[in-house]
Amino acid sequence: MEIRDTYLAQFRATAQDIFAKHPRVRSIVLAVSQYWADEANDAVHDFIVASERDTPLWPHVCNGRWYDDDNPVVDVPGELCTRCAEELLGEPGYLQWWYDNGDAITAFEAFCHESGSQDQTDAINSLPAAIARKRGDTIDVELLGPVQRPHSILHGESDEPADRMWFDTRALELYDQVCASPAEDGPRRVLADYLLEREMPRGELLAHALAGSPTYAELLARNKLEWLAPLDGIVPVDTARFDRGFLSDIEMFAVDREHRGHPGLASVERLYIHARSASVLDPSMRALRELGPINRTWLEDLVAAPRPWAIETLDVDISDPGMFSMLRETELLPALRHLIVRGDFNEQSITSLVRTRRWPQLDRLTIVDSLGHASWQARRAPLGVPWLAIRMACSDPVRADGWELAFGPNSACEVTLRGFTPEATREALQKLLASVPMRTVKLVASRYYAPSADDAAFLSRDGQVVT
Amino acid sequence: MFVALSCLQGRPSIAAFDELATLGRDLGIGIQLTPGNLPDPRFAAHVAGSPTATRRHHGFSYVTRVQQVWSEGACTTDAESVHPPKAGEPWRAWFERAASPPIIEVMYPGYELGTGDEVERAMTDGLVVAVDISHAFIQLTAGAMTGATWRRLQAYERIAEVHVSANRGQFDTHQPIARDTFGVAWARERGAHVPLVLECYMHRLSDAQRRAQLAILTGSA
Repeated sequence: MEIRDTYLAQFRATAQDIFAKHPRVRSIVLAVSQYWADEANDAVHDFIVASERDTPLWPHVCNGRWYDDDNPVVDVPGELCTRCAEELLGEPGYLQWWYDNGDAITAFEAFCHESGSQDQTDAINSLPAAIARKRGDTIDVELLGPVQRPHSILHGESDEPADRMWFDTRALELYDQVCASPAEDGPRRVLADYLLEREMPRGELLAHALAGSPTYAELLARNKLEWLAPLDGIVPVDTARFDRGFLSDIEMFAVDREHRGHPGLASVERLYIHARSASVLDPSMRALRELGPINRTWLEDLVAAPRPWAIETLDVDISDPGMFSMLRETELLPALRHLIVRGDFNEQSITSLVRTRRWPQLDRLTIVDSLGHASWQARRAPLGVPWLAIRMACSDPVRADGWELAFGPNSACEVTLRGFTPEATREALQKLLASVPMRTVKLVASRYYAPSADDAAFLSRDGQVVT
Repeated sequence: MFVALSCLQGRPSIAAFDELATLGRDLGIGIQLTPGNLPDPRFAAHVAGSPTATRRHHGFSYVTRVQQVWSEGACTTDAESVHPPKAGEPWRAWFERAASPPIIEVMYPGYELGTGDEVERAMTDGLVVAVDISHAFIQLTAGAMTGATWRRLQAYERIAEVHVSANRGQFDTHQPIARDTFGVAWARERGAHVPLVLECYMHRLSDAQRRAQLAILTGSA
C-alpha cells in the first residue's frame, strides 16, 4: 500500500535520527492504537518505543510524565518512550509526519486491536506495527504481522492480471518440483530458464533471486501485488514474504474456499490462519512446514489429503473432542516435530493424544492455556515428550499468546514471549516463575522478546537463578 | 428498539449489519445506521433488501466511512438525528429556519448542547432532541450539568430518541451497560415511547453477552 510505504519511509527517517542521537538504542517500535468515537473520525495514534535491546520490551511500562503513588512503576533501564524520555523525538516532541485523523487510519488501522479506549494507557491501547533495527550502518524496517483486523485491508481481489505462469502446464510441472524441495535452488533454476525462454516476468524475478542480485528486492517490492495476484483477496500483501521468487510466509483470512488449490499457495512454507478463515488447505501445498492455528474445517482437509504432509509445526485450535480423534488417527504427519494445542480441551485428551505414539519424532508439545503452567509442568515425563511448553493465552484486551515456559530434559526450563500483549509484563512473568520449582531458568529470545541482564536480575529470587 | 451499527464500529459494513440483524431478529429490533464502518458499494442494496428496520444517524453514509454533517452552519445530511457541531460553531440559525430539522443530540463539553445551560435553552426553545444517557453522565460528572437540569431533561416531552451506553464519566467510551448503569432505568421507560438505541461496543462480547445487553433494555433481564 502506497500510503503505508510512505509512512514506513518516514518511520525509517525518524529511526535514523533517534539512532544518531541515542547511540545505545538498537531497536525502535512504532506502535499504533485506535479507539472509536461516535463522530467516527477514528484517529489512529502513534506510540514510539526505543530500546537498547534487539526488540523493545513489550508492553512498555513506565512512569511517563506522572507518578502514581498508589501504583508505583519502576522504569526498565534501556527502554524509552516519548512519555518517559521526552527528548526521544527532539523538537517538537511528536511525529510531524503522522496524520492521525487521516492517512494514518488507512495505513495502520488493520494493525490496531478492537478494544482501544480513551480510558486506557498507551501500553494497553497500542500494539507494535513496525520495528526498525540498527544493523551496522543500515536500518532494517519490518512490518509486524499478523495484522489484527485482516478484513480492513482485504477488500477483495485487485485488478492485477494473474501471472501467465499459472496457466502453463509445463511451468506448473516444474513449479511442483520447486514446492517439493523448497530449500533447493536446482528446481528453481530449471523453472527460471523455462520462464525466461517464454518471456514470462517471474523468470526474471527468479533469475535475479538466484543470482543474489539487489534487483530482486526492487522487482519484488515494485510489483508485489502482481506477484501475489489473485491471492491478494485472502493474503495481506504487506506482511506477505517471498523466498526466491515465490510466496513463503503469509497470513490468511479467506471468506470462502474459492482459492483452494491455487498454485500460488503451493510454495507457502509458513501459514498463519486468522480466526474464522475458511479452509483453503489443499494437497498441492507441498511446501508447508508451519501451519496454524487451524480449526476443525482445516483439520478435516488436512486428514483427508491423499498423501503425507511435510508439516513440522502444527497449531490446532480444538473446538470438540472429535478433533483429537482426527489427530490421533491420521498417518499424514510423519514430519511433525512440534504440536501446539489450544482451545477447548482437558488433560486427559492431551495424554491420550500423545500416548498414541503416532509421532515418535515429536520434539515439543506446546499447550496454550489460560489457566497457567502449574497444572501441566509435572506432566512432561508421563507425556514422554522431550520438551513440554506451556504458553499463556491472553485475552485482555487483545487475544494473543503471552509468556511461554518450556520444560525440557535434565530439569531445563526456558522462558520466552510468544506475542505482543499488554498482559505479558515482567511482573506477570515474575508471578509465573514464583511457582516454578526449577533452580535455574533461562530467558531465550524470540520474535517478540530479547532478554536482558536487567530482566534476569529482576526475575531472580532466592533459590532460583534466572539467566 | 434499535442497535447502532457502531456496536461493531470498524468492521465491514455488510458483515456488521448482518451480525446485528441476526442478533435482534427474534426481538424485532432494528439497526440505526451510524458512521464508522468500512464502506461497501453493495451496502445500500443490502440494507434495502433486508427486512430489518433502519434509521440513519449523524454522518452515516452508504459509500464512505463518514460524511460531513455541518458546513457553514447548515446540516448537510438527511439523517433522522445528528450531533450538533463543536462548541462555538454556528447551527442554531439554520436549525430554527429548517422546515424539518433533524433530531439534535445532547452532547458533552466541547460540543454545542454540551452543557446544562445549553440544554436548558434547547428545552426552553422546544427543540426536538435525542438524549444520550452517557453524554448526560459526562456532563454531570464534569459539573457541566446540574441535577436539576438532568431531572428537567428526563421529564422533557420533546425527546425523540434515547441513546444508551456506559462510560466512567470522563470519555464517551461506549462500554456495555448493566442494569444499574447511569440512566438505564429511565432510558428503558422512556424508550418504550420513542426509538431506543443501544450503542455499546460489542466487538469482544459473546453472543450470550450481546443478548444480555438487549435483555437489559427490553426488561427481560
